[in-house]
Amino acid sequence: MIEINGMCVRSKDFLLKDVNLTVQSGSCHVVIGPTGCGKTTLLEATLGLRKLQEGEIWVDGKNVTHLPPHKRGFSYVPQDLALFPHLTVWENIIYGIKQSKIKNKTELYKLASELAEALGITHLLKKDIKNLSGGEKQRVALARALASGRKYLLLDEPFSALHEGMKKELWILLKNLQKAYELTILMVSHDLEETFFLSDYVSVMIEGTIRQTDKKEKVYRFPSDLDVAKYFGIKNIFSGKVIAMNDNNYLVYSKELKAKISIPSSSTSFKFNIGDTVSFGIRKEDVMILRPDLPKKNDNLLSGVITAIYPKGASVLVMFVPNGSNISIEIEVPEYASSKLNLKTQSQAIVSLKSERIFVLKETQFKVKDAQN
Amino acid sequence: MFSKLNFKTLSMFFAFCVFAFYVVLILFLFYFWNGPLFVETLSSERTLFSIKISLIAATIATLLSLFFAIPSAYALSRFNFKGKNIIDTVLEFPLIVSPAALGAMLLIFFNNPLGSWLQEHVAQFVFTFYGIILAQFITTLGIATRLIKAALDEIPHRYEDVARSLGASPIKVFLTITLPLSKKGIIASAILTWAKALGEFGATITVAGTMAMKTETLPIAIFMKLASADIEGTVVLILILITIGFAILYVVRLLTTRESL
Repeated sequence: MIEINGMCVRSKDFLLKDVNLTVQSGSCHVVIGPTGCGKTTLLEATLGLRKLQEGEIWVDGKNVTHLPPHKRGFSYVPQDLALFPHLTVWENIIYGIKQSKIKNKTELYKLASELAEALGITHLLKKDIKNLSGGEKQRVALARALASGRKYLLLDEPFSALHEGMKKELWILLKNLQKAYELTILMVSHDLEETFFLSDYVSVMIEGTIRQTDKKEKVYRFPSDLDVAKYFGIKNIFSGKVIAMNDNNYLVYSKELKAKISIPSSSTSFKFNIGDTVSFGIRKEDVMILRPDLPKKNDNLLSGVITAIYPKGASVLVMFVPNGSNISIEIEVPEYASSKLNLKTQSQAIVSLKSERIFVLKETQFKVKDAQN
Repeated sequence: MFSKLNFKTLSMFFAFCVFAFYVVLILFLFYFWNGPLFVETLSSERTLFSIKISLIAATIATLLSLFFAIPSAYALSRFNFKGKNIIDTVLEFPLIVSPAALGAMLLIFFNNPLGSWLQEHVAQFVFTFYGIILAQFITTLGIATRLIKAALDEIPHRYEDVARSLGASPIKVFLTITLPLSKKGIIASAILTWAKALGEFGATITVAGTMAMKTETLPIAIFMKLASADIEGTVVLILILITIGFAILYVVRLLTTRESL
């Protein structure tokens, strides 16, 4: 288990503030955030390449805060991989084994061969690094990081330079390796799909602070604040006033939507009273366009006009404006569903904001600079 | 005419100009060429001694310079510490101060109590072979450090970070990653340092004097010949110095290029 407690790192123009993280043994914890938010600094400080102004780092109950990088027990794969250009593929892979103080290294060499096999690079072992493709380099970097027998892996956006197909192939490979070798991974990324594919736990970092940490499903379903939601590219964020409540639900009237919205009290840890202002949101894929011919049993129904339709390949982005409102709701519909519903611009439609998919936001004074569009 | 030249041709013209400046100087030496004298001078004991001490002194001075320059260049390239900027500035000291002044400073140092003590108890430097090495070492050290620092700056520290994460201690990282990766740059720096030491005159003559068969390096022998108005003899020695210098530089360059292929 890796524990980072109250980490503060100050550099020339940047401050990492009070970072607290726990990476459970055998899990993959991804820190996601916009470019320049401090993700790499976090990894470098964990590895021991940057001095901590405050805080501690513990690995399996041992305080490693003041240990040099080579004694902390982490393997590190930086964004540019940094494969040693003067060594062959095999020499790169066994570099860590050569540094190990274990007397009998037979097991480690066996592990290196096993990893080369698992990563499909046995035919490259005698090659020079400069002759490898991007995907091959990635595999060699992973093999090198794991061959030393270390169980703690620090990954700094290692797949960012690869094309989509290769990326996904390596994600699966990394998942399999994690399971097979019981790896504990702390990874940083700015890729949402990669994060939710690889992680067990996710932390969202914005401007040097961790805004949310939870299981990936929870972070995905319930972004904690406005900045996190914006970073995830969620545009459907509204506000309203609590006008009624019972044990299970809040009833919120949104002036923007000109509608009453029912929000389950289980979707938020905050307690609201009648008259309180609530910010809430819903992902575009959680808004449902209803077939006009079917009876309307769903909750949070809104009637309005489809103002635009943007085909995106496998799905279609629909812009919907509720009657009487002047704001758009983004809706993502699978392409086949869009065809079936025969969606057309300027046509009337009824949509449902699935109440169990609505999340409530904590207001923040920060703004995300490069939130996704 | 110039309007027809593109930038590439123009820059190549200047490259050939640089080459021409030196080649013209070398070619005009042959105006005073004297074949029999060349053979006679080359086979004379005094010239052979000058060649020998020039090569030995330049090689030792280069090795000494590298011994100090490599770790200090590493420190300047990789770490931030108090006084770093001052040290970095002082590296240009031998370039700012003329070699003769540098030699004079060494003489002044050996006339102080600490210098006198060193002369008495460690080694005699003034007017000796050790003086030649010391003069060449002092002249080349700053340049060697500057050149090696530039070579180390070219190596991304990421390689070292990864090596450390794989369990290598700082010294192991230096020996197994930094040094091999900067090998070409260090060899190039060593060649330039050696060439500078071989041709060093001002500081050497000031500290070691001009004693034939004792401290007379090739550049000093050239000066002595010229001082006695022996132009043909001067030309012979210059050609010997040029031949030795270029031959060694060429061989080293050839070896390092082959290795990098």
